[in-house]
Amino acid sequence: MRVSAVVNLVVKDLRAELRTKHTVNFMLLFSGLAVAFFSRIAGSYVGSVPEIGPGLLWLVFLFTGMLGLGRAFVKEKELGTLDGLRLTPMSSAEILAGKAIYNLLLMLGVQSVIFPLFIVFFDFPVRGGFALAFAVLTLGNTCFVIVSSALATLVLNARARELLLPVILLPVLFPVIVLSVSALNSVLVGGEGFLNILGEIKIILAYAVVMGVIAMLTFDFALEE
Amino acid sequence: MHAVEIRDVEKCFGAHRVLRGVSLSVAEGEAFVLLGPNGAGKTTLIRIVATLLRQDSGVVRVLGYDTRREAQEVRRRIGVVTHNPLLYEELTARENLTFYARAYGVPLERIEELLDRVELEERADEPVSTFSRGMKQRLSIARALLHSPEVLLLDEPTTGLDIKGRRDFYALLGNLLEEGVTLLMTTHHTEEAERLCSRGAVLRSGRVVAQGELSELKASVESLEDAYLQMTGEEGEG
Amino acid sequence: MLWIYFSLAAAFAMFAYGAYKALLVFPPIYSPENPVMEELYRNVFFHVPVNASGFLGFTITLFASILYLKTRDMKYDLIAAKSAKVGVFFITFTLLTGMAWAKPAWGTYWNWDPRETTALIMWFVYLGYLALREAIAEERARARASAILGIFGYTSGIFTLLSTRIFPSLHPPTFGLRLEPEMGMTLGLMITGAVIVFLNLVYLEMRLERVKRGLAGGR
Repeated sequence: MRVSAVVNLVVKDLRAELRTKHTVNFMLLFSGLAVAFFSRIAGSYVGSVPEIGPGLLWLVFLFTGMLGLGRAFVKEKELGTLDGLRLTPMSSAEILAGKAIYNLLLMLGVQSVIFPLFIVFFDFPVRGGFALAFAVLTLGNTCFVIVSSALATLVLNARARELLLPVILLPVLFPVIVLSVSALNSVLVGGEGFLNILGEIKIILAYAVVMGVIAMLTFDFALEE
Repeated sequence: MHAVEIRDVEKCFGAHRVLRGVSLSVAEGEAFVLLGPNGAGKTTLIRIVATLLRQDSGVVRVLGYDTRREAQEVRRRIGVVTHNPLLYEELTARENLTFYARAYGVPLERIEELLDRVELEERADEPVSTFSRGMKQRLSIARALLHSPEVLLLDEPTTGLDIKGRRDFYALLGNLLEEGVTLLMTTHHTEEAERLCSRGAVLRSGRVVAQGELSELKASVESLEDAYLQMTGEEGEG
Repeated sequence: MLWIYFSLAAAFAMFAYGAYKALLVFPPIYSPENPVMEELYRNVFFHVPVNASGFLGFTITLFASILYLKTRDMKYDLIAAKSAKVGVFFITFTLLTGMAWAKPAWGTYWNWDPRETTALIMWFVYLGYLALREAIAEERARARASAILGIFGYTSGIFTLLSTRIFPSLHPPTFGLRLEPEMGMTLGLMITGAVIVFLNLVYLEMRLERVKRGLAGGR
């Protein structure tokens, strides 16, 4: 894999996105709305049972991501530029890596705004390290973008792809969501340190690696027509 | 060696057989035109040669490289122009070419050379979304020529262009042909094709019904257009 | 076709004999720490066979998916699709018999116990798989996309099991269940019967699909 080719693709996507900001603005708006609504509906319960919080936060990321992340490929498909990408000598692994990194940057952008917003809105107790919690979220989102970038291509030729993507994505993501919510709870509510969530971290990392490898191996087929 | 060699290519979409054993070959440095009514399988065939689509059976070689097994090698040597310019609307002309140049590993100086060639240097820093159809198509040519391909595949490249745009476009193709680039194209505009191309094939329902010198193809009738209509049994489709 | 009748007859005989033994012959098991187990353990004879067949189905889908991508032989796509479909059908019964067990044994129908969780998530994964197949019209594109999902989905199932392992489980360990030898034999017989029924269903589904295609004018 050539790093320069991956960077080139990421730069292209970021440049195009920053010019219009269609996707990122939409993602921020949607996730902000979701946090506000959750706060109104469940805010007082989270006050007494803070363990609900991280789950709600992940729900916000999931919905935001599922609506926004598929765009990276769907847009290229709709405009036909996916053909242009496939015509270049870039390997499919490079294309996948570029798209996943671009998606991760989008999610990090959302995360940096929404996570603090969430803490403020819910007056959420941060008993453990904020940085550690942020790192756990980032790790979870990394898995999220790897799997969603890979699976988003599967629905490109499907009818009602916007409906279909969440249905195939959610069950596959289930282990990451459960583990990262549990780790987040340990850190934020339990005030625990890195060593106490090592069990979860290890499995999430293994998941990221295994899913990444499968994605790389199958992506040649995914991009085919 | 042939620039493009297509042997017994079959392709089905579901139960619909789009290509039924197509064989033809294009010599290096020649301009070859694929004629045929809509739905004859021309676009499918071009997409297969361009490595964008996999045939179900049969072999396609471009400059000796197998499109299925050596797709990367083929991609380095072909340029593709379709009615879709394959450009990013939000980006400027120069940014589009920069992206593709880096993807192909071509030095960035080449961009200026091509912008000059397709006469877009003045608009190079404006977003593609502000371009006319003809400008986009010229930029698309520049994109396809970045890596100096030996074979250029053109699928209805002049669709939506006005008369001047079409004339400029064919002048550019003529220059490329003189430089030794092989052209394989589909078009509905038989007159222009006739001026540029020496050989061609007529496709109908996924089969090659005639292949050879354009002069031979039309020998028995008044014009190529008549020959085309006669062979395809089409009325009014042009 | 004849062997289908024979094997199905044999499978039903095995199942009927097993069910007769499980429900009417075997004595209640007296378990001081868990008195409701007394009659409830009989559920095992139905729960375990359908579960084993269902997961066998998903595993077949995994291997058929890999083989499809390697060979691009549509036969493997058909096997993968039908195996997933019948697998989902069987896992539905796993979930139902599991819930029927869980309510009296553990107090609620649903407990997010690791095995329950894995079965449910896999059920969703393969329903999604079937939905994806429904939504793609072009058969090669459908075969490719669903094969890839077949690989991702199964792997995710393994991780689901793995991820729930770090939380405590209520479910009796699969191979730790202590049964009398005769009960074990009966269970084995019923698993065999269920697997035979499963394989026949997959085979019949495949034939049905081919007949349908023939009628549709394909080949």
